Amino acid sequence: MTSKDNDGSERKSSRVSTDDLYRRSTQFKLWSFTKDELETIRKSSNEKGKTYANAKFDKVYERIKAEQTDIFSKYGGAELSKNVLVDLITLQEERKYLNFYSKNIIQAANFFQMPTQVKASAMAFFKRFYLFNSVMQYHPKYVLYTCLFLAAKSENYFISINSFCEPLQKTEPKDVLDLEFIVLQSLKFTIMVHHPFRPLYGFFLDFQEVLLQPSPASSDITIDKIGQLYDQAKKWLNDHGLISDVSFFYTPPQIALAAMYDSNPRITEKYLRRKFLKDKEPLNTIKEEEPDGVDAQQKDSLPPKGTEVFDLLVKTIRKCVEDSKTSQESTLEESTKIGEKCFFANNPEKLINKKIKKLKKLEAQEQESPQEAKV
Amino acid sequence: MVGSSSQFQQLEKLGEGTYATVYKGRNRATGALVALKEINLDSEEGTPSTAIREISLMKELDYHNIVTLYDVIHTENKLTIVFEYMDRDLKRYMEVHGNNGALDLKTVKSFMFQLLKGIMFCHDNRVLHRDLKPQNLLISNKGELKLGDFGLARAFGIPFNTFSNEVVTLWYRAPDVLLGSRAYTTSIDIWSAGCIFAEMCTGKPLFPGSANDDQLMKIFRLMGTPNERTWPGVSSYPNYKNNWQIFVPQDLRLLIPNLDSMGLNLLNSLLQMRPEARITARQALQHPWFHEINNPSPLMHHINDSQQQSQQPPQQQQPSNNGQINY
Repeated sequence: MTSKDNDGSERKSSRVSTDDLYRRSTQFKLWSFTKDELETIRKSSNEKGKTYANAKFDKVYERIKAEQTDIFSKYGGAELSKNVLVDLITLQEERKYLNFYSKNIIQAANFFQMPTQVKASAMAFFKRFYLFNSVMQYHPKYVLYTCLFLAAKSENYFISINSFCEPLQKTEPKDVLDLEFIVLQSLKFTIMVHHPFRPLYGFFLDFQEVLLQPSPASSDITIDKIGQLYDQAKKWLNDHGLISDVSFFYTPPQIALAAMYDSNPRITEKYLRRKFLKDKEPLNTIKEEEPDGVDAQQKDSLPPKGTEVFDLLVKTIRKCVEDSKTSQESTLEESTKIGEKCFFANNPEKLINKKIKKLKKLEAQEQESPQEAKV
Repeated sequence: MVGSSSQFQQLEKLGEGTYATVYKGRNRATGALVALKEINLDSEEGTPSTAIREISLMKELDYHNIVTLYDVIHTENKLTIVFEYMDRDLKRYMEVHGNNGALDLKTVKSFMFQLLKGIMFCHDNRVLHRDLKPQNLLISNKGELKLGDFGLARAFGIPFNTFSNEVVTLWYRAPDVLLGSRAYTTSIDIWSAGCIFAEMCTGKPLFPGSANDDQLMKIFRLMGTPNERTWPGVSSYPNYKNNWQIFVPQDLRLLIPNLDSMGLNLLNSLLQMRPEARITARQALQHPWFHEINNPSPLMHHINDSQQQSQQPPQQQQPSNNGQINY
């Protein structure tokens, strides 16, 4: 649906399609990836995080070692050796942990009764931030609040820092604000995010037009049915669209269509058939606020027509549905374990001291027990 | 590309706004001039949301006729937005280069074309500027015009004091907005463009009102007092009064004798009282008055060349097929 005039004529006077607009957006230029690209980026950020955590550990380790020569001379080669102490977060653990925290964004946004737009932007900020940073550098707890607070500002939803922090546990304004610039910088100062919710509304209207006019496409397709589909699709976007990686791979209208397709494949496919197969209308007559934009991600392809568009679209949508459901789920137990590792990666001093304390306690017990035996 | 403030040498102050001060700056490494918009972070709320929104918009509006945002720099207690430097604003340009402020028609045409292109780009991207006025239009020595100041504050103010009523000027405000319309649409920027068009031709503001009602009267005096017949629905605006003095529309020709009839026709299309009757930026750019720019003769080539060359700012990557519109 590159609606740039398919025959190439009248280029001057044509209006700019939403597809073209999307291609100009920073979301397309800076934040759209192939799966391989995304994997590579994440891998390197995880490596970067490990290097960072290792360096941080080494510095603290050397210091404590110099301070407490006794215990290190005894256990330095074993219990207190670096190899035994350090247990950093793997790429997969990092993915799981972030997925776990993503859900907290939704909870927090719902708690503050923030509009969907704020919630969705905060989620986008959070996901984008951790493409280039690791949880071993920045703990997700504060990053998530900073993202939410920043999204509230950028989406014009006013909440003061004090009323924002008040209900949050152990969170001071400073914790949130200190990260503000770091987050902005990681976002490359691009903070306008396009979400699938608006295109979804556009499709909701267009479904009515295409499927009900001049007469219903089939007897069971009614305005209520389309309304129901719209509600289900909205829920789908909240449940699957926000948390998964689909926003890095697909355009907002593609994701919106995937939401509808997964909610009701029959009606959605009927719509697409009517729209692209029976309609002989040229594609660039598609109205604003809606379907165009669906193939903006196909960077190099020429504008296809009719059957080709239909086939490509259905294929893309199905793939999007599939991708939306492959997010890294974790149990609470797992998350707690990763959380502990994350805490120690960020606070190596506590990790080392904990171990020392444990060793000293053991020693003390050993010294006491022979005496007890004497009595 | 992470900048530090030491990267730039701060030169003279260019202007001051409600949330920022703008300085001229020089990149120490390259010698290039920039505009530094400094925002105080003393606020308990962190980065002001006005700054966040301006950054958000400017990052998306990557276009030749819109001032480019290069970088954002953070120091202890301030945030500095680094913008492309422009030599002066249109108000100052008219004072320096105009004949009592009035510009020659060739310049007016070039500036109007660039202004409308900038507006079209904003509108295509669903952005209303809302505050178009000569002080917010920036002119380079090469004759390029760019839209600036997308925040609440005036970024590239005038480097001297002005009358306070100019700071909150109503002069470029559309009649529907003055009448209390809250349904802001792209047409409000078009009205401002019309006012600026006339001002460039005459050197004087078209409607220099002093307050809301005075502003309306100045508009009515020239464009005629609207009524339900000339503007269906006008009586339902919040600020509508049924005892307005009745004026009949005047011929714009008398006010701007130096503008040819084609130009007057364009001006008239921009200055329509009814918002929905106003021409769009896209339509305006196709107006016959711009024929020679849209269909350049060999003489015009140098203008086009300079525009082509600076089509993309040097630091920006040009992605393939990004849908840039060319004329």
